[in-house]
Amino acid sequence: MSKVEKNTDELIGELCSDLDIAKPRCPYRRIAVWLIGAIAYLTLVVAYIGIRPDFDMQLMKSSFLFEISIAVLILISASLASSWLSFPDCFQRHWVKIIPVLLFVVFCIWTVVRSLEDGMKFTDGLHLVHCAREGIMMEIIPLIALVFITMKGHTTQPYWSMAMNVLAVSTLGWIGLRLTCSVDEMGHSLFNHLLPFAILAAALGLFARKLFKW
Amino acid sequence: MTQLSDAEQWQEWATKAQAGDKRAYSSLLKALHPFIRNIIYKGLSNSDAAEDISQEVLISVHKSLNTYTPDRPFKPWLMSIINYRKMDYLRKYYAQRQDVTSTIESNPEFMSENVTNSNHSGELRDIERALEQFPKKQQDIFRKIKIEGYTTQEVANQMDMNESAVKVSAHRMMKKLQGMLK
Repeated sequence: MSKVEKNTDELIGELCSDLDIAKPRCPYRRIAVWLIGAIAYLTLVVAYIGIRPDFDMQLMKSSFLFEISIAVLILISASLASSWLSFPDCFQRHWVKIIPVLLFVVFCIWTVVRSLEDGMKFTDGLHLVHCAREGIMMEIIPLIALVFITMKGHTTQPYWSMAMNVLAVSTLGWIGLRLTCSVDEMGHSLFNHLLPFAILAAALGLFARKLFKW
Repeated sequence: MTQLSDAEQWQEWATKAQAGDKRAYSSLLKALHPFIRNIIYKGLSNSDAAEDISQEVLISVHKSLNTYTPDRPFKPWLMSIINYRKMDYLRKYYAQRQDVTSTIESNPEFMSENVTNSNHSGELRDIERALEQFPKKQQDIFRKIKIEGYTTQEVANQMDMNESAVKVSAHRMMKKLQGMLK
């Protein structure tokens, strides 16, 4: 049904004869399943890699708790935004994109402030390989699943959809790496935990229109 | 009985269509088509393109019917699809246009739409050919005065010439052209 040259009445007739029962899509069910699945998968990967030895001590630090809380909020809001964006009219809640973006800005300001306080120290290059590898392990399957869910929808904002997908999955990876990697230096976190995925996100963004075409 | 507005009526038909009611669906699509076409036509002023896009929108409505939830207004949902398809069309159109070069002669459609009297198009080409037979400087003087609308004083200043020499050159060329085109 892709030819538009045919007569409109004929087209309407064909569309009517092609009509099936179309149960309204629920924006919450699929994304809830994804969130639960992604968290369960992350738990498994974290258990496989091994939780950082000083995790108990970190739980006492308000800065660590703040960082994890804001990452969780970004994860939830970005995945919800991603789900709403998979509707042509964004479920008539266009403001939803602003929340994860604002939270991400707060998160960036927080990391810059911490970098200024602690100084930008860099650890050796070995960590880059091992953190990037673990990060990819944590993110790749949830990313494929989320992109697939968005592809099943009918987004009219493909770039925003991809941005929300990547933001949700990146924060999932960030949380996972903060639970497994015991290097707390901001230079390390920014360049080893965030930068490889920022590059991946930019590369994926180039294909957003093609991926989410309908 | 209260009269339903267009949007409310569409909402009702869309809800019935989701349940598989083909008659309601047919009424919905028939009612949407002129609305969609008018909206697109306002922005494009090309009836063929407006018709193409409105058919694309109808197909998109069909594909994404399950993304409409009856408790939300119908019109914003439809408008999102219309705008998306329109932008899609314009993107493709401008992308194609960048790769295409054409001349007036090879585009009779453009000629018939944009040249006031297409019977004169052959004469215009004859004039162009005749002009090319003159020296470059004389052509420039003629074009500036007779086609681009500069005054003889302005042309004289631009070409660093005497005003009367410019007038004489343009006049002589006009006479010669008339002779050549008789």
